[in-house]
Amino acid sequence: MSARLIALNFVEPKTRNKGVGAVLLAIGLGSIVLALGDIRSAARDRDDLQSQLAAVQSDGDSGRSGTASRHSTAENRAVVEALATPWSLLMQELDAASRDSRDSVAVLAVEPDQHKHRVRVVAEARNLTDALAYIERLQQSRVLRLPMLDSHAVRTDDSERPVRFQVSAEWKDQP
Amino acid sequence: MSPLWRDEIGIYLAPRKIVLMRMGRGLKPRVLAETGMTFDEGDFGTWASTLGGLAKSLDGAMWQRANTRVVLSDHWARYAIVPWSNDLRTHAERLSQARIALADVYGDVVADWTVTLDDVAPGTAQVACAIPTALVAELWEIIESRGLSVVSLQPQLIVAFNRWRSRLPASGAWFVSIEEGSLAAARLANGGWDRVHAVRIGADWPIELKRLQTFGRLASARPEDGRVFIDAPPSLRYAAGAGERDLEWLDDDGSSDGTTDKLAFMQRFRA
Repeated sequence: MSARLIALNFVEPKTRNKGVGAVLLAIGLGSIVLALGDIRSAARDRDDLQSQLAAVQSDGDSGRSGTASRHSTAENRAVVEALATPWSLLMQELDAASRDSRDSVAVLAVEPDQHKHRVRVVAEARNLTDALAYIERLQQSRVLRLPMLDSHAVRTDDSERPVRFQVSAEWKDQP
Repeated sequence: MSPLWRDEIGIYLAPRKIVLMRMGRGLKPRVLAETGMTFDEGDFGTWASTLGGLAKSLDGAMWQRANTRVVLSDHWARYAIVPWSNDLRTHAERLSQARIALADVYGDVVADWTVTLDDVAPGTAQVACAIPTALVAELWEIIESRGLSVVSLQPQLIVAFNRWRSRLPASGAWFVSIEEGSLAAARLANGGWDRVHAVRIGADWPIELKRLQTFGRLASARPEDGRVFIDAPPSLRYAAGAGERDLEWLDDDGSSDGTTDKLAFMQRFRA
């Protein structure tokens, strides 16, 4: 071990440098604070961006799949329901009923309600008797169940005064 | 230019001698200019001739716009060791204690001198030094009126000791700094000083040195504790007899650096 430094000076260098040192210290501390603030801000921005990115990705995935799924499901259901509707039998029954009524009844519209599993038939007959005979004939159908006359009206605007009537019935999936 | 990168002027002031040296700053400081002045009729008791010569020297263009480091001859310095006291809380209280210690040794002559202490860790004895306040005031006037700023003002014993301390043992030896007309000595103990003397010497100064050497031996339990390390200009060394046993003359090996060291180095050769 050698002798220690004798720090004896009639001028105090520390005093002379104290102001500069304090300024440098303040600048250094300020820089650290600013740097920490920047780091925190950057970290927050990064987290926000990551959250937004995750949300966008999630929405994109779920949106695409959900929409497609919904569309697919609805379309599939519609297709299934359409396929499930016994159109051929139904049309054959309606046609057979018209022939049995000696063409006194003309079917104007057939409106199936797939959700309710019902069909509404709009037709015109020469008179009310023919209309009721047509309904009785439909009641014997293998495809329709409980055909009911919903409404009827005599068309006064027609010189032959036909009767327009509406029949609704459930259809059977399996005759 | 930043003050930190201003050139530095080293100034050595003694009753009969002035040495000035300008050092350029930078990674490799170099001597830009040097000059010296001696006063054969200078009075050892006053500083008028010295400061007059300094003022005249500093008027030269080479000695403008720089920081200055001043080394003051031990002719104008008085030293004392101030034991550490836990009862003293402030620097002012320690300075007061230092004044008391100096007055015990030198009497009232140092009552109005400027006193300072070295900066030490708590529990360590401090070195106190006093120099004439009038000398300091006149010196400041000369330097600062020329736009120079003073970085340090230190007595020769302190500068010389710090220059050589890496080659000194921590304890059991004396360090002596000699110049024309004065001898200052510090006894090394526990890495610091435990005794310090500053005396005026005449042509018979080797006798003073032998007295110090003998005192060192008598005061030490071990023979090797009587070693005396001497910082002195070559001319005085030859006069003392370089072959004297137990006297170790400190020679510059070229490893020292810094403005103060170079100033001291130069000062020795200009003696």
